[in-house]
Amino acid sequence: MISAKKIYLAVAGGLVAAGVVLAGIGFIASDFDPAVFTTQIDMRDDTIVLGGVEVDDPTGLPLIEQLAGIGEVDTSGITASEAPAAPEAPTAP
Amino acid sequence: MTRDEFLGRLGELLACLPAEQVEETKAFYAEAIADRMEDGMSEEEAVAAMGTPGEVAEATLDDLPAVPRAIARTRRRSTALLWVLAIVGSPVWVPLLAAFAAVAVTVYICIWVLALCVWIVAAALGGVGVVELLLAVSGVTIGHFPYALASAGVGLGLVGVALFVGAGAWAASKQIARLSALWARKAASPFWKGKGEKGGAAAHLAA
Repeated sequence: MISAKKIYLAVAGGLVAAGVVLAGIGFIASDFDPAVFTTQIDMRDDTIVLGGVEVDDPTGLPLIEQLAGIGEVDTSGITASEAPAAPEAPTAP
Repeated sequence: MTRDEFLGRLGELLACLPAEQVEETKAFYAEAIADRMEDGMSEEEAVAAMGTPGEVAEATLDDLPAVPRAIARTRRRSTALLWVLAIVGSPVWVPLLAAFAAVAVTVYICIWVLALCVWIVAAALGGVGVVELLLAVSGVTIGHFPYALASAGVGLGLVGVALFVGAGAWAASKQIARLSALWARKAASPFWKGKGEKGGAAAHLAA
């Protein structure tokens, strides 16, 4: 049980270490451009920017293609509150 | 006083308790008397070592949790008085009991929400890590390798952190399970006492 826990923690630590190294290599390869860590997906004007590079056609890109397929989601109907209609006044007997 | 007289008198004094509890108490003291007789005491000496039946009955009642003790003491005076107090006092004790139960359940839920929060943080970190790995694949697809490396690094790092947080969440859940069990015992203590906590009679004998 203890060895399983050690293996688990070693895997987690290895992943973090590998992640830091890979991210560092990517940052260096981009000439220390912080934009390499950014991802912008704007469905209002179909703008997709991955690491500072604009993508014209998202076809074949995992996740991004699916997001582009969904298109713009209009949430104005949820946030705009309309006043309910006033009830009719009762008629005099 | 003989053993049977002692136990008979004890049974009369504890008539306010449930029959099963009375028998349990009588059996405990019968065994204690038998142990002393095995050690060489005479029956009278062994019975005298227990104290008077009144003292033993008081010790037994004192050992009860607060609510059953109050009910037993009232019932010992008069069963009718107990019913009158229960009915007349119901506008007070029913809402109080409901409020007590609501607070106890709310605190129990809050304790577990703490553990749930840690698990949600772990799941969120893992989810973002997986999304970053998918974005890394997108980076490879478009030929932007620095972005692919950076995204893969961030993704792997977040998955690793999620595993660490998951381990922490597991440890926290175990502690919270202990804490919630402790809370449940504490919340139930005015009404119920666990078998392992029954030390009043033994303490009386030791005294």
